[in-house]
Amino acid sequence: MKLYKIRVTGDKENFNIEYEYSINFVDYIKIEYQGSEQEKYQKFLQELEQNGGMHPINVKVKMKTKFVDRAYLKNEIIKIKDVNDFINRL
Amino acid sequence: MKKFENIMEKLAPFIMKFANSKPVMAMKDGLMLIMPLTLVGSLFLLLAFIPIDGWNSLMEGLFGQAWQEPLFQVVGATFDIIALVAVFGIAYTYAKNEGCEAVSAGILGIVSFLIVTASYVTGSGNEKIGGVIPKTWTGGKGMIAAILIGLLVGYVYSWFIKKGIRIKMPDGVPTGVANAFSALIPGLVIMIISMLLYILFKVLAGKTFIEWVYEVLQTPLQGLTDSLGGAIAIPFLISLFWWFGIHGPAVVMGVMSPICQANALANQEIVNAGGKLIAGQNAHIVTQQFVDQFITFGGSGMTLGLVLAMIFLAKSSHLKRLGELSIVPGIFNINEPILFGFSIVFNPMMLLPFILVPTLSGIITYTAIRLGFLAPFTAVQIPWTTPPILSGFIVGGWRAALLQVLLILMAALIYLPFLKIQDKISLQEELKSESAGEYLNI
Repeated sequence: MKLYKIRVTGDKENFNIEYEYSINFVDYIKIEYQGSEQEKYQKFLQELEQNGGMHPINVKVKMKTKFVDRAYLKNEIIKIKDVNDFINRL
Repeated sequence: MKKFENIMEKLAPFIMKFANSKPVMAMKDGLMLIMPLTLVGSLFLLLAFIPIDGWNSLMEGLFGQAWQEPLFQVVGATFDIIALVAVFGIAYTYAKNEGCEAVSAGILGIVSFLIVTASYVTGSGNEKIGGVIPKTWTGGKGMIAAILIGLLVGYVYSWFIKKGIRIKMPDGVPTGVANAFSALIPGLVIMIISMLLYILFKVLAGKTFIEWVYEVLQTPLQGLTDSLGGAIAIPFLISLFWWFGIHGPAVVMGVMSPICQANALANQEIVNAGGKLIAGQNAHIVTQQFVDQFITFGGSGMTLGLVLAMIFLAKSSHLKRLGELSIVPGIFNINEPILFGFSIVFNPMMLLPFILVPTLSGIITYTAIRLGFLAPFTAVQIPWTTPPILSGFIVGGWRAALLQVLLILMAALIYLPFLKIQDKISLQEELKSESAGEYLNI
């Protein structure tokens, strides 16, 4: 069971998402995914489904047009299949 | 509970739309520019008013009666110009977020602010002394006007640039020169609008725009936030938003911070004039320190009390270890490991204490100031990461530090029954998963 943190930067059209996980709630390790943002996001969803627990996902938002950090439940994020839809939800 | 969650789910998009709107983003980021001024200025202010008996006499003996004057020079050059810095920051950020060259927008913000401000002060014999920028209006009293002007200038400037209504220089002209020419048309329009505003308010209201905004908008807003209702609403909303997965302080303080700052500066003005701050009469209670040092210290929901309870009273190794790992960030008022690791966010069981603790703290602190146990706060501010007790001592002396200790104890007591329930669940899970070896590796 891992705790996940996502960092979103850029803007609505040109964004970047970094994925991290922690096993001790304090130190986070970066997950290195390859591919487009959509491909990386899909891989993260698989990871979340397999290893995510009941803990909410911490979303750090540092975009040009959005800045309020969010938290999402695992089930809620898993329902969002398209990375653009995820960005729009922030 | 489900009904409440449904309501919040329906409200969330509107809250996010508001929080991420262009004006709120420009305001939040633009106002960040005043933070270094208030924090560094606070050091000099603190030196001028160190709450130690005999300090003033000692300094007078060493440096003469005017020993505070150099310190006030620094205070005057920081606190007394925060509205000017804010108007620059807001217009600059708005234009930057719109993808426009932003420095010109910031400068036009300052120009516009000064156009609608009186350029004279009244002397003791009621004579007008011209050729001045009155600091009365460039500090805390001009905050709301600075926000309005900054947003208006940022919007108008960006509109002109994006619509291409500007003087375009040929390719090869240095960028700096091209930008200066680009700003001419929007600059002219902004200055004309500002001048018309000045005339309009002078003729119709008999005062400047800045004075009008202060009387009609800022004073009522300060009064509203300064009530017991304000002291309850701020912590309540911060916790409620966080529990529902929205960064509460970013949303609530993005709007409330300028007013809380203005409240503190109004108090300081009274002290500078030699007056005594009396809650309920001339002093504001809900200031930035009220929020940072008494309702969000230890992190949103004041979870430091919970962390201490976890360390000393939790039986499950999971929660005990989480408490130990969270204590250092908690001392510096960061509680992310608790919000997400405990977890508090979206946890129905934790909603009640997470809201109740800071709200009660707000009521207790408000009452302590209202009854005179604690002196109202001046403009002395410290970074929000300053550990409790030390932070309380700096902003309000030993009584404030003592109050923080009591509030941490209160938080621990309120969180305790909820911790026990969670502890029982964790203990059972640990026993179940011990053999499977699948529990979080902490």
